[in-house]
Amino acid sequence: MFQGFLVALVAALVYMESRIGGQHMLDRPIIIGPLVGIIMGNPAMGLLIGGELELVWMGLVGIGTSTPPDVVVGSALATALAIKTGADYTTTLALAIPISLLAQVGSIGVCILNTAFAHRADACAEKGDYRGVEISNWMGSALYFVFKFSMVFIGFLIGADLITAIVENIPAVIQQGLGQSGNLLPALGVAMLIQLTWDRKFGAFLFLGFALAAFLNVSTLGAAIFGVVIAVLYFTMSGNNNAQAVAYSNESEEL
Amino acid sequence: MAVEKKLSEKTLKKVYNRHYQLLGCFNYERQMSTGYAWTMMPALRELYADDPAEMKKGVKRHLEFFNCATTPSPFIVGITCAMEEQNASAEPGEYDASAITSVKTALMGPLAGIGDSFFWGTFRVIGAGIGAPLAVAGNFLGPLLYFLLNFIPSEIVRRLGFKIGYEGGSSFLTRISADGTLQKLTEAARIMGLIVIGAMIPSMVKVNLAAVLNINGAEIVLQSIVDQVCPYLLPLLLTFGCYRLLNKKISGTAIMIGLLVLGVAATALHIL
Repeated sequence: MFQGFLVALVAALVYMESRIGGQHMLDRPIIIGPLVGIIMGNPAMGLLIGGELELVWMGLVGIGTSTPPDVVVGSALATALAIKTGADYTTTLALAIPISLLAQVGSIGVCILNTAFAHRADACAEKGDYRGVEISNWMGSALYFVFKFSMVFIGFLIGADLITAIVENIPAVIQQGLGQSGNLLPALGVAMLIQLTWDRKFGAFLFLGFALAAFLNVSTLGAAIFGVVIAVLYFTMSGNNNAQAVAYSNESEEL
Repeated sequence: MAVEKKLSEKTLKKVYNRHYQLLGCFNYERQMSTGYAWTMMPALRELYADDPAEMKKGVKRHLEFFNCATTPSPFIVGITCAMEEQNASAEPGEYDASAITSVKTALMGPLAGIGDSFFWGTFRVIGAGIGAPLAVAGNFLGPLLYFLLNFIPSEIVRRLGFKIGYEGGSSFLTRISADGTLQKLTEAARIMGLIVIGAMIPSMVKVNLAAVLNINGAEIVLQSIVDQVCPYLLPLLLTFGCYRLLNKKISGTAIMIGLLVLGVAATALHIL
């Protein structure tokens, strides 16, 4: 119970960094997993689950106005419950996905409800109550906090028995199969990242990265260093200013 | 021009610190509007201390719709501060305050695009690409590297952006976008991101065929045949399969469920 309280508190606080802390991309499984692991007394397991969930979910981002499945609630609950019930990562994963989808509805709800505070701010401004305008912003934050906290806390309280029951009743072949699914799922994460960054003009660099890793066994860290070098070269060596660009286009006209 | 009004260092610092709460009351209708008003409030209070009518106009001005990526936002906030100073210093009717809103609106879209491609699309991707495999391997440096790779670049851009925005204002942005620097920076970041994403495929997506063909008594391991063609060919194909489905507007959730089913089915059939 107290553990559940702490897990919910930490999950909600990490989430709040994205609301009132500047959004440094910290509300992700890779950060939440280990933190929840520490509370649950098994940091190593939390780290592992956080890393695995990050691989699956790294493509899920809330850019602009879109609200993706709730990875904060999903990863906090999945990590906590897996450690509590002793379930393995694959079961956790099968569990984290429905949780995050359910929690997504809650997150969308808050974004709708918070419209009321934006209107309250208007009303306060009209009356000259500027303190009220400021407080409206914090009312929105408070609602975000309450929602995240209660979703994780309630999920923790009702989840443990449910998972134990599921784990005991899943046939072995499905458990093994989910393990394989866990290996396949990062493909979706990577595909979402490709969708985010793809540019026909630079598409070849994606395959350069693939070839570095596939044929030369370069790690992602190594590939990132190659990436920095190539990006710097591109920046310094490609046409530096408009004057040059104009010169080029003149030449091509003459040809 | 009447008395020239300048914001104090202390107030500027307050405004900068408040920008971290821009998303505090994010909502679908006005998005970051309440957060923007919260951010600008110390500046407005100082500039319009003895002009209640202008104060009210100022607050309402910043309660209008605003949405941008968080990291480049301080740049816009900085420009807004400089423009509010000009407005407060001008004789009544001399300064067109609607220009403040126009500048905010004109900047938020392009800067959101640049900010997203750098911070969602590059630093976070590289952070996750390096951090997640380390975490899976049980190394606590994973989350730490992820944190540093996201936090440090973002903080630098915020602090510099606010200073440049306040001092140089929009001329800086016009200059770097006119001489192509901005576009080249975005493209360089994109190249870096694509290389890392490509390298993620072999290390993170695992497809190992368990199937063994039996031709005239000779056992052929399918996986080794595929490996001879190109190592990690199957993860590459699977990833691009997902990418194509996403492009056909099939939701990520549907694909996720599909992959779960695929894993179980392929295991049951002894393919994987």
